[in-house]
Amino acid sequence: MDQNGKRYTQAGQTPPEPSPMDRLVLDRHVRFVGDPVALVVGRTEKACERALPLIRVQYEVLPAVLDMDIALDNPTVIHPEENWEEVPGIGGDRMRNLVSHEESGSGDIDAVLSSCDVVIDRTYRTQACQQAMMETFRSYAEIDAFGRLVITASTQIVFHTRRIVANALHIPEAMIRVRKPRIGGGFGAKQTAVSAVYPAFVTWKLKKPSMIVFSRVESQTASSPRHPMELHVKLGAMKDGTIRGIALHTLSDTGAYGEHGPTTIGLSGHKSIPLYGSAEAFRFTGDCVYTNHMSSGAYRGYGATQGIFAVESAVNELADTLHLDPLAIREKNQVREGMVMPAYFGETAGSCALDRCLESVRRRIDWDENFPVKELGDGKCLAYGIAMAMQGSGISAVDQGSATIKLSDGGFFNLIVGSADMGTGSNTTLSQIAAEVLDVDLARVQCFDADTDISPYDSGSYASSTAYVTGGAVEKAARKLREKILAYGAELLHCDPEGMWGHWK
Amino acid sequence: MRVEIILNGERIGREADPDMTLYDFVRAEGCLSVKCGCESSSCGLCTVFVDDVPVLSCSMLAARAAGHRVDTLEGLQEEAGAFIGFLADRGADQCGFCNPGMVMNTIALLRENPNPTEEDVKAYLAGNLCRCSGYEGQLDAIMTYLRTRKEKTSRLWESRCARRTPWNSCPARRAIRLTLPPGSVL
Ligand code: FES
Ligand code: FES
Repeated sequence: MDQNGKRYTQAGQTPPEPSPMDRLVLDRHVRFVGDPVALVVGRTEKACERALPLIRVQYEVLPAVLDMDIALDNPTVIHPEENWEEVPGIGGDRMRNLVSHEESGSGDIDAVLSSCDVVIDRTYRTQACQQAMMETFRSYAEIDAFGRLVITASTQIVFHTRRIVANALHIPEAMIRVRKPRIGGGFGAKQTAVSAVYPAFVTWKLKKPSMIVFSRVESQTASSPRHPMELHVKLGAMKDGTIRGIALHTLSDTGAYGEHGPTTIGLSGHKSIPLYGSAEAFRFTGDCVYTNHMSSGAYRGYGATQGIFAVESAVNELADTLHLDPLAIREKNQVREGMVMPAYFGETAGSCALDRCLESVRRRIDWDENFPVKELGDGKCLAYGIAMAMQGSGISAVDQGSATIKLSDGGFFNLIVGSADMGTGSNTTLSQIAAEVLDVDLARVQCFDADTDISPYDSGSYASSTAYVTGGAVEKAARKLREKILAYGAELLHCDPEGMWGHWK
Repeated sequence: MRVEIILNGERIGREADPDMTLYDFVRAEGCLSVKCGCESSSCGLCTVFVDDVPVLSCSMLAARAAGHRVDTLEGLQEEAGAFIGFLADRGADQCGFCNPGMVMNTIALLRENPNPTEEDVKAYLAGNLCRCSGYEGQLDAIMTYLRTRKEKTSRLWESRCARRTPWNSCPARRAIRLTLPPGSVL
């Protein structure tokens, strides 16, 4: 296979892929400590370990970019190679170390800010964080009786892994089968194909089974942590606490590769600014840059976490400056059901219980009594603070789930899905949905996930999507099957399918 | 070198390199309940008993266990069975990868101290990391188990039933429910 012909990305996202194609399985240009230099294959782990010190690598040490602040337009270019493939329309420029650039807004933010009583102008920095699921990254590969490559991976993205491996190895997707067994946690780390490509490469070349299990150290140093970001917030408000405008500029450090870079930085703005429905104007700009750090990835919240940390901190600082109650400021300005959210792609908040949520928080933690601090005696105290957040279930009009339900000869149901239960309990949730629609005991629904040869397509388990997206598919499938069974029963019993309901079970 | 141990009550022997860990040894013998989360004595997932003492098998050489009794969760099903239902009922586990190590240490705790306080439980299980749960569920499950066990044995419980506790709040109701086929109405 011509390794140098075409680059790929390990990000598990629904195509058209929003992360740049910037990786090779093995590259002559290594970009961070932890970037693979060689694949050492042996019959035993011991044999590999013996081989390692025998390998000499000569490095030409280039200047490194280790701070996102100086990455943009730095003379050191992280991806000088010509076959780097940008994602169309997201403003990336490899020669500037720029993965993506975004600008969006509504209203005249500068005019609004200059007419505000106060403007809170702050910069916040967030750290890279490790998802640290207890089971580290691992995969194994084998060639089946038909000469196809079968990969068993600890992953959240079974179908995306198939495509990623096909892109990496330059072989047709049809030659690959990916399976997921029970796995020990993901938290977004396994929304990137961190481990699968390596045994896939080895097995495809050698036609022998192979496996890789990351040590904890490797899991911490060559993986897919949260994007560190630097967020500059300008928050304009009136003395009575009315928030009139928010301007946010985010700088995101995607590290050596662009996995999930353009999408996470987008959410830092699109999931923080819309929380304030009162704002007349907003501006969100962002630069996602390459550095010589570990490649970042997906992690619960997916960029929203960083944005919310910054905007919510600024709102708390605003409350402090104005001597107002931070909870009251939020009640005054929050987005409400039915409001159009210009900063959330112009969508309408079709369901939103944030007002009730805040009210309930106020009551249940006895906010009025306890804020800002409750003395516990003995030199100890309990501090109270508040922040809001928003999250959508799945990516609208992008993510897909499907479900197949079979009525088996044993009188139970096989529910076959392509989502990935990684400890989230989604298989139980999906079985419960099916059992409820079919009105049978839960024990009569057996859920299977996931195998690209057997399961119907699913974009995978991330973005809090499985219960909602795949669950929706399960409900539809179960309803169809119920109708079929009822119709068949009605035919046998010569009665109306509607009247069959009482005989069901 | 040949290492012989008594694994879950059975004498077994196998060839082992001098640097083979006890973790790799018991896994090679099919004890797949034993998990590895850190290979550096930090997480508790690889806990096994050596002569009834919990040890971190990732950090003990198999050779050191030679001639000793080694027990894994595979051999302690009955003892674990007493309380694991409470973990399941409480939905304490998510991915469950940490569960065997946690159960092993809970068994060790209960052997050592049959009536631990909440603080005792916290202190004893502090070395067991779980990424998914936040520990509340496990703690709650163990405390509920301890309470239920106490209730079961106390006379108070009997007299309460004798006094005809309303059926809905009688602790026996749940127990009976568990023995009936699912879906039965009491
Ligand atoms: S694997 Fe042994 S303590 Fe973590
Ligand atoms: S349940 Fe996943 S690590 Fe504990």
